[in-house]
Amino acid sequence: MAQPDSENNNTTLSEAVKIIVDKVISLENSHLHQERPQIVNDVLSIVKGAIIVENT
Amino acid sequence: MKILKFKLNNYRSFYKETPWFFASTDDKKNVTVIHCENGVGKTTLLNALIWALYEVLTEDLQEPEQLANKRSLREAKIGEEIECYVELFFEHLMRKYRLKRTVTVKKLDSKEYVYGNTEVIMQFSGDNGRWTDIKDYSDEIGRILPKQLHNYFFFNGERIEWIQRPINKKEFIQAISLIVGDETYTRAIRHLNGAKKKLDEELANIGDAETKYLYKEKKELEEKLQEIEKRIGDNDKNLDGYRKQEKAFSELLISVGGEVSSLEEERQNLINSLKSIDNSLTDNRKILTNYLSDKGYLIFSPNAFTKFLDLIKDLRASGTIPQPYKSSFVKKILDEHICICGRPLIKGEKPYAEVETWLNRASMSEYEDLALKMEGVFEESVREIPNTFNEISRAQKARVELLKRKFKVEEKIYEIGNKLKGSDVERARELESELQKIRSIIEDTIFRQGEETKDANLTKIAINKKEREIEEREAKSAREKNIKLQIKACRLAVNETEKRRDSLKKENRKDLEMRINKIFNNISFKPYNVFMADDYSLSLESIDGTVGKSTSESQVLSLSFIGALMEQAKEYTAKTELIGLDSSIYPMVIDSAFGNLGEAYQKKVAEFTPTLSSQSIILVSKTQWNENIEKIMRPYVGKEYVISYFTPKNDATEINIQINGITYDLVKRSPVENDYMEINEVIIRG
Repeated sequence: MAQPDSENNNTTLSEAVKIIVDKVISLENSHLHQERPQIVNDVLSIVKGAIIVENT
Repeated sequence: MKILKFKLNNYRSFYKETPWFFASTDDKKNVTVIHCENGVGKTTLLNALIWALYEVLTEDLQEPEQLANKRSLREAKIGEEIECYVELFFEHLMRKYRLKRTVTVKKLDSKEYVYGNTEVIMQFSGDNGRWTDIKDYSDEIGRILPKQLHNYFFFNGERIEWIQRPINKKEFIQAISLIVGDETYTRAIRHLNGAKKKLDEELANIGDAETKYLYKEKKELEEKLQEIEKRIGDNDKNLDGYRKQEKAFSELLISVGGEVSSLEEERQNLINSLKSIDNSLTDNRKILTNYLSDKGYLIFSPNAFTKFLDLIKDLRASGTIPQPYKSSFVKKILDEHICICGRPLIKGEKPYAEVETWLNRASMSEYEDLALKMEGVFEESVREIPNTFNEISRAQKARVELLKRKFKVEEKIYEIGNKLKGSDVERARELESELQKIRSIIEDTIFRQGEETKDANLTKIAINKKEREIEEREAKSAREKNIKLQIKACRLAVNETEKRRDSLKKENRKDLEMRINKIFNNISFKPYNVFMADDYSLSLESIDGTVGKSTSESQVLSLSFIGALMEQAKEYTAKTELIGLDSSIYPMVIDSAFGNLGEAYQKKVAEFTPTLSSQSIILVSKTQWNENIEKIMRPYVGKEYVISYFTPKNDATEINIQINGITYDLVKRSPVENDYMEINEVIIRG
């Protein structure tokens, strides 16, 4: 589960999007040769993590 | 991945168990050569490795269903089972692997045999040296060397031109995407959309009745889209199959001989010309569209331009413009209360009021500046109008010419079809009739595909509209607001990922084309440039335009493509620290590496082969391993084998090869009534 970084407390939506994309790409790279069904849940965790940061 | 050793048992032409073939693992002497005459077992060895890893065979393998050795089957008793297997040891990321794929064949009677299921044992050697079984062997192999990429590592050099004419273009492009890295982005987009869908569902469960209803409608549309996309996918698969059949019928027509062959060959050339004309028409349309979107307004604007320029001319003639003073200058005089003639300017008195009227007039100077600037721009535009007309007319003329050529070619294709339909040769008539049927099916499928694609696009637009409607609704709770934000972030993340993927693709394609050019020009002695189209097809261009490719050039072009792709993949994996493709180590197994090449190209390809990958296994006949190649490759050969074939035919021509002063038999008359093979390792000197 992706956790928000404490230093990103004032992340704007566009910054959050960049963080999401970077994290998702890195996740995909590490599973490039095996597509796991649960990967969508990991992506969802990344999105939720980043947006929680934006809202706090 | 580095191959360590492999052996075959009752596999195709190899009777009983072969000794181990050890592959060279030396970094400098990285080439393993296996000498074997044509028809004896070169292609079988290539296929044995592919079969062991992926349970597939190359398309050029004759009688692919006959995996077990015929002599072993003949000698087996009725009811007896024989084992046919390939065993392979390899190393990957410091770990040793053992892979053995076996199929058991039962002899039912003297002519009938039944094949059982294949069994696979895959193990790795742990730190304690013990071998541990790997259950999901196919996943493990996929991680080490993905199945869809195997064609780039194990191939027949003589038939390598397939790279420029892949049967399944989608699969081919996907494989390239995986190698050069943009597949990562495609998957990220798919999974982000998956996450968005989950968030949509979450929102639908907490939204109000109207929002819920909108979500229901959106879900229905999405399901409809899914069905359409499935149909599109099925159509694509069917099209691939139909095209294979079309190709097979065409080849059969060519094999009929005589006039029928010439007609079919002519038709194939015409079909290729038609494709090239269609490409030119697409390019022409792009040129016209660009002209019309960039300069099209000029055609409709000459009257407005002339009217404006006349107006400016009149204003200039009447002295209304340019104004003699700028507003800042008049303001300064008023602030200093002294006129340029030295008279004092006192507010409320007449001289002050007179100078103040200039301020109002001078404040129009900004508009005046703008009008003068526009005058320059409009004059330039008026001059450009005839050029634009000429360019558009030139592009349109070219379009008309292309359409005329297209019509003529289509007419000729139609005539050939008619000739073949009415041919005196019954077989030709039958084949043409089948070919016409399959072409009609292909046309129908393409038409259906167009309709489905249109429907898919309309559904996507409807989904977007529904999404906007949902978005427009106010958030009913903090949670709803939060999820909405997450959905928005998902959508923006998809856009951002698409942007990154497109820019990476562009960059990679440019880089790949440059690398192909570099390798091709290093090997080729002709001053050609390689051009790579959107679908990765390659053409050669001289200063006079596109040139036809010789067989050698096609082969070199494909090798350059593989070399460039691997070079790019190496750099990409090193950059992203991907663990899938080990950053620089992979084997390359090439059957008939120098087969169809002319002498000059053979030498260059021989120089290039050891650098193509970190481990090469090349399978060659005597004619494919000539003196020139031997001289160039010898310093890189770390392991070498000769497969000797002993034939019972008394009149067979014996063939042998001299290696390091020792004579090795390639074909020899057998002292017994059966044919058999012997495998000898060559002693490498130095």
